[in-house]
Amino acid sequence: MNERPSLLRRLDQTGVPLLIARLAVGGMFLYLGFNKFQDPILFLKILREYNILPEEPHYFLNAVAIVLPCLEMVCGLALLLGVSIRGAACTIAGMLVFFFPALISQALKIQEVKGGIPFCDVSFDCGCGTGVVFICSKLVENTLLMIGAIIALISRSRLYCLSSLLMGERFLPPWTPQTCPRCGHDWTAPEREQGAEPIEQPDVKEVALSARGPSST
Amino acid sequence: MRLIRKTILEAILILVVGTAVGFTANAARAKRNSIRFDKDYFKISVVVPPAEQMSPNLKEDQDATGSEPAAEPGAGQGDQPESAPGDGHEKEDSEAGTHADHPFQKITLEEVASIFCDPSTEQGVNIFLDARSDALFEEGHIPGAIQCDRYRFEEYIDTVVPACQTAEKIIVYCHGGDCEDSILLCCDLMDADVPYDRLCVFAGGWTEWKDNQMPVEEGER
Repeated sequence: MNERPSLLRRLDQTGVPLLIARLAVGGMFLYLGFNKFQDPILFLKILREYNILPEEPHYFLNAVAIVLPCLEMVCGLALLLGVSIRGAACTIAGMLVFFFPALISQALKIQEVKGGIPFCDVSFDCGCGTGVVFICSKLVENTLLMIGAIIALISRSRLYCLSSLLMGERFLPPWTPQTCPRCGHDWTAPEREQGAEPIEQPDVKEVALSARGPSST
Repeated sequence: MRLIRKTILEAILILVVGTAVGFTANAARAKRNSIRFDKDYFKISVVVPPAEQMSPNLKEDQDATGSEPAAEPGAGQGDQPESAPGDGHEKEDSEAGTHADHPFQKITLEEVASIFCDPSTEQGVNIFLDARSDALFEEGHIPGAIQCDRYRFEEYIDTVVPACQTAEKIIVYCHGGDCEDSILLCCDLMDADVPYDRLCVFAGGWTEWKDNQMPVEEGER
């Protein structure tokens, strides 16, 4: 019995939510990572100001300042291209989980220094690659990025992804006629669902024999 | 379960690739724009010389240059740093690098202004060192200040240290506020044999200077 997939599932099967999430989160992380990469010393200084990473051994802080911008760029590029999407989204979500408390604690410190100004009026260079920002807008931005990363993490669609092309899976949406380059399976078949294992094709000889019936054997 | 394992493996792969790209790019990029992995950029290690050694040194230097002392009494020459003990000891605590507690002579905006207006300043008797980055220096700095980005000290050492050796008073400043670059630059200068008692830190820094409508110079020097 064929159950009709839920609305969210059907929406996911179009590949559009994943595509939007990939382009937004991937593009943003590529941009932010590149900005940090351009001035690593400034990033190192800002990183230290957070006071959340141990200063000893000093190699640790240096290593984070060297690796983090490139890690963001690699994640962004992976999402944009559509390769290792879940791995990249998982890494981005992990980084964002780390950034949230760091940003809030730094903003609270600045708020205290500035004599208790409203929280949303706190602005500082968070080292995010966008210069001086207001904390509330940064938190909203990070929340949206987190939502995008989660969509990329849970989506089962692999439409418009480079990995689909490489693995011989469907690259274009269901309304586009397409057969699998490996097995010749018709992707437009209604029973085919995204992410499911390829349906085993019935043996042509057996089908022909059964159609003739037992009398012909 | 298989999906979770695959996701974790992909994340590890991304981490490995990111780390490899990071270190490779850092090694490949121009030296002035890279992070030296082995360098402790924020270590404050100051050997404060004994008080009795300071004045004769200063006197000798003044005799050698034949110049008058820069200062005016309130300009900080006679003010010994609050935390500078006279018995010579090493401070190796990163906490000691805050403006509240560092071993260098602190000077106020009024003192800096009087040194700035002193005619001997133009002759290089007193010099201003800007410890901020190149971009910030170009946006604006104290007129006559010498650029010396603290994190690229090696690039400036050939021009800055000779100037410091001949100067009587070296006013080092950075952005102000929590900025510690001026203190860290003082440490670097001491490592390059610039006498301790010539170094002064203008804690208010560029922010205080600019906010008080003091003269500003733009562009490179």
